[in-house]
Amino acid sequence: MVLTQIMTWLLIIFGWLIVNHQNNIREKRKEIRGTLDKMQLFLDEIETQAIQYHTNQATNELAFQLKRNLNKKLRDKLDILKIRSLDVKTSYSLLFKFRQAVTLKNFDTSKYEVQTINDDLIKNILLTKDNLSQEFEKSFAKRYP
Amino acid sequence: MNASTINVTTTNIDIGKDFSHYPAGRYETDGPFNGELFRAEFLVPVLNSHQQITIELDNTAGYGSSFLEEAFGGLVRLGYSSAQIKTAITFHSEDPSLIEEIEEYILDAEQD
Repeated sequence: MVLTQIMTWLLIIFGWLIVNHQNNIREKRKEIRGTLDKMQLFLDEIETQAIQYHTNQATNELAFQLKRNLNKKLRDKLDILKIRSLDVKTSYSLLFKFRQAVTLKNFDTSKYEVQTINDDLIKNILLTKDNLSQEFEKSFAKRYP
Repeated sequence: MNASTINVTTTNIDIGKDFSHYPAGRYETDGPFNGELFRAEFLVPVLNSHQQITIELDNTAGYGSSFLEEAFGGLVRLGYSSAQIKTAITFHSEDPSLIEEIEEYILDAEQD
């Protein structure tokens, strides 16, 4: 009788531990997904600013915003994903390719030339941003298959 | 004097504090704190005097790649080898992508 009661309690506790553990995983998944969604929106914002800059609006203010976003702000967001256990090691190379696409040519220069949406510079910005964006999604999919 | 007795001094350059919080552009025509100026005032003297330096990259408002390419890739175009640059300069940043980017510019300039 006593043994049966003990077994029942053990089963209840064990069951609770499993449910609690699964809840924690779900909550953590939601948190990471939320952070990742914010990151994707931020990348969209940078992409829009970059196209604006290169196609019609090469102001010092926009150049400053782009440098700020493509350096510290983006890195800080990446660090948060890292803290939340997402593997972002391979993203650093893609981050610099994106920064390079936006700021290596026709940027902070006295010889600025307005680009059209079909120019290689713009296409390269779109491609490198997509690569970075996709890399985050892959990391997420690996972490939560 | 053999190589082991050459005086090698180590200094630190903090781009944000020693040069500008807002580095921008390649050439003088692009702005007052451009990559060409940083290279001439800070990097070339170090390489010519066999010093070793650590460059702190983190205290600026951010870099455009054009500044980084001109400052560091430009050293190779002036005749310094990537090995010389690597021996003389160590980079510090919380952002590994920044260091990777600079190293790529140095190697690319050597291959061009």
